[in-house]
Amino acid sequence: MAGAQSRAAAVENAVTDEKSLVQAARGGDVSSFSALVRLYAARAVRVATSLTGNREDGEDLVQEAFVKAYQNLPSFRGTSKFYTWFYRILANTCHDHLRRKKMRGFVAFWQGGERERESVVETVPSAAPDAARLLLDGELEEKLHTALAELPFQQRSVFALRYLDGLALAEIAESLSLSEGAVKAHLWHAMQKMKKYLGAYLEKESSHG
Amino acid sequence: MDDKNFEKADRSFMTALKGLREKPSDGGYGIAAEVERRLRAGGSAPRARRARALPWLVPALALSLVVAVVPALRPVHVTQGPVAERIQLASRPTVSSVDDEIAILKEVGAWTEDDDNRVAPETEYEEVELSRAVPLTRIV
Repeated sequence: MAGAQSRAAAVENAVTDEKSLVQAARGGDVSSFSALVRLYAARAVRVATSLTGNREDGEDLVQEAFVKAYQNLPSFRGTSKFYTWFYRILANTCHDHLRRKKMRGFVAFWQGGERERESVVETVPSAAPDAARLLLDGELEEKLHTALAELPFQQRSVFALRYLDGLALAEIAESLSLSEGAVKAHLWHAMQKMKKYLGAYLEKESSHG
Repeated sequence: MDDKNFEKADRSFMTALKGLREKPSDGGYGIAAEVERRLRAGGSAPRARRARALPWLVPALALSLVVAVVPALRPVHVTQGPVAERIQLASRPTVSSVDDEIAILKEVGAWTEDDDNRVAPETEYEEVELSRAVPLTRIV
């Protein structure tokens, strides 16, 4: 009971801290905004890496998104949490990046270049019998990102925010300006496709759980 | 998709990817430092929402659109070529056809000498004008 109370108090303090940091940053205090970045950067990089399939791109895009967020702080009304508002900026930044990359890919193709990435169908097996081993040597994450790249952007976004960042459905809906029903529908379709790539690993985890 | 199936699958993914979700990451401080450096270097400050300035490409594209569309919308003027001119000339009455008609009218009594006198000056004028195009022998 005492533990639950102290955790609730910690959450309350964090929310208060976030609000005061946002307020100070809105007034032009870069250090306060930098503190906000430190709070959320690691999670944001994980999400951006999942959306783009590339860690370096993910880090660059997170930086870009934070700069955009700082410049647009006056439009943040404070009715939602800072990171749900920020994730919308991050998702849009990643989407724009992928569109530009796709366009460059088309140009390279017409100029006789090769595709930057092979199709996941050729590189990822339909089942993953040794997925637990892949996790141990760190390849599962890479395989996950490769498989995510095959999903439409909206499905990829809800999947990443839900399972790689742990957001609630309502928070995802708020971040992506969708209804909760739409979030569930996107998640459902994403899960059906991802089961194909992570099926064996999911079964193993379920049996352990 | 029903709620029960969704919740089961959702739980399964949440459990399976817990390790990745909670994996420690060291990117936060480096990114914060870089963002701070960019904000201080760029002199960026939170700014009120404003309309984005149009890129220079927009007026150029608009101009090229006007140049492409306006000629297509202009009405087409059919110029009278030599063929149309010849058709017009052919439909005009000639001196001989007028003479023939007057002769027929005289036969039926519908054309009198008074009529001759009344149209004579005009006829002469027409003959002078037509003499440019009609051989002299036919007028005589």
